[in-house]
Amino acid sequence: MSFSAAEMEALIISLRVALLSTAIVAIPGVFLGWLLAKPPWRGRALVDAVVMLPLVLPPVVVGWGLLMLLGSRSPFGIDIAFSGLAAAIAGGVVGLPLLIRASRIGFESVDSRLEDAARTLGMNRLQAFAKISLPLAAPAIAQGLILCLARSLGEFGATITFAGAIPGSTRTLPLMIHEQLQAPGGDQLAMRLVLFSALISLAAMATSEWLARKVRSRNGAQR
Amino acid sequence: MKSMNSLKSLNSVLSFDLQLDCGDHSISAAATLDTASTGLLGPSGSGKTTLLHAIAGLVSPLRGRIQIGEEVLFDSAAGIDVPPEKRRIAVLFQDGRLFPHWSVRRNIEIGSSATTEDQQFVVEIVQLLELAPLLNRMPDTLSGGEKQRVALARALAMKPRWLLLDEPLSALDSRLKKRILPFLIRIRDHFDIPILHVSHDVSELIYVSDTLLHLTDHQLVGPSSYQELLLSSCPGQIEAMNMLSATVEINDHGEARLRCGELVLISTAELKPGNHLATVRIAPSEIAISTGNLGNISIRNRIQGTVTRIHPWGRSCLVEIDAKQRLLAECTEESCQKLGLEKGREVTILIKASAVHLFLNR
Repeated sequence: MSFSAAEMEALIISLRVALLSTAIVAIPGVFLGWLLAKPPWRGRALVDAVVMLPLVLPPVVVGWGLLMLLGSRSPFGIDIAFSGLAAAIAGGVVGLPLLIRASRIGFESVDSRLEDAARTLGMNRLQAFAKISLPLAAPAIAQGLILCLARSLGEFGATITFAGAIPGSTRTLPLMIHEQLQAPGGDQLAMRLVLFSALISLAAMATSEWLARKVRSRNGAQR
Repeated sequence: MKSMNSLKSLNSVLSFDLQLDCGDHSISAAATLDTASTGLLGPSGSGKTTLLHAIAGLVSPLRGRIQIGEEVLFDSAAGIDVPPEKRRIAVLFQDGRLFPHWSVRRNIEIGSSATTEDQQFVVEIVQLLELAPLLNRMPDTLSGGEKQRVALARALAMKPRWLLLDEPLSALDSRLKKRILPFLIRIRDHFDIPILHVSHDVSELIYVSDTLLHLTDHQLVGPSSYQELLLSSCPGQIEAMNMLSATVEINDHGEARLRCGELVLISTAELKPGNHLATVRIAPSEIAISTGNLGNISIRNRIQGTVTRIHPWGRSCLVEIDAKQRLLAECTEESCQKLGLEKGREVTILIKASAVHLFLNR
């Protein structure tokens, strides 16, 4: 099975966009996961609900929201709509809840009293976090990153609304599949791309599951 | 009983005067600790752990002051609160709290610096606590006793100014406890690090401590000697116990003879042949007093002594007897009257060999 130049291009754009979107949300996602894993604080439930919104909202609504915030009518004066960066941001925003959820579970599974022990041994707050909690939560975080990447790879609604389907820039695999399905006689090509997308997604989910198992066995050993 | 070990340096004297929030109640705790090893006694839930954590900087007192020597670690009035990582006060937690993703070696070395002197110190600790075979193991492969030994090594390796032990043996069964306790004695005698040891087990505390603190519902009492603390407390608050240092000899019949100064006791405790140093533990309720002729009786330990004091103790009495060692015997008020016990009275005390318990100091 060989790919046409256009297919290859869509694949590369997809991977580039997905990697970029995961990179963009990695730090805020882990931070929010950590924050939500802390003992209840004022407003936690609200923050929890807001960051989970992209998971339940129709992606097209997310895309429209991004267009309002970062498009030509942006209140911040930032217009990045219909660019590669916009595609990455759209993918990142819909993947973010998955990363936050996984990181949160990871941090919750770490015995917070270990940080107390670390403090008495001479580590400050940041060192205790970096040397103890973060490594212990790492497999769960990695799982979240993979889920986020996979979600971003499959993103369609938010991307087409906020970034369009510009060949060579924002036309990712799902957008190209959609295009082929619209075109007369494009069914066969679409089918190949669908198969290919499914394979990538399966690989991501398998890796994620493997990491989840690692977290469970590590936490089991902790008790 | 051992002699009192005063701290070698005044710079290590730990003093505090605190008001602490323990969830459902608050406690005031003030004391100056100037002996090498202090025990902190109190019922569970009384706030012992909170006090320890406040000293280490892990919880904030409502108000008050903590200092080591001249250095102020906490002063609510002056707004001083030195973070735990700058206090150099080590804590041995009840559950060890080893870092599960690091080997035993890395766990131990985390608090120490890379200088040759510190590395040498770590080697010394590892030797003393017999940890060399465990260095490359991961914490989840260790037994409970091993984990606590590693946690103790980790706490010591940072060369703390004070070592706080938070019921480190409570999760271990009594057999393991007896094997770890001698290590604590070794630590106390070998390193110049003062220890504050929390436990609800009186014998454990008397065994390792020079003086004791008693945390009751809202107040901290002490530091004072065990007997003082016991006799000033309400009956039932502190377990009454006799503790004596002894050398152990095994005779030809495999019987343990315990020499506590001039007092010799026979114990049924099973021991391997050879001579040992031990601490003898006898509950006052296991000691009987006789004033007359005994005749034939199966009890092996019969010791002549003189009554020195009688303390009312709830519905019974604690009788202090000088029998080459000072011993406490518990008997009912009726018995006291019937026997005509009073200061200066000659008596024979009777202790079953099975009531003489031992802690071995290796």
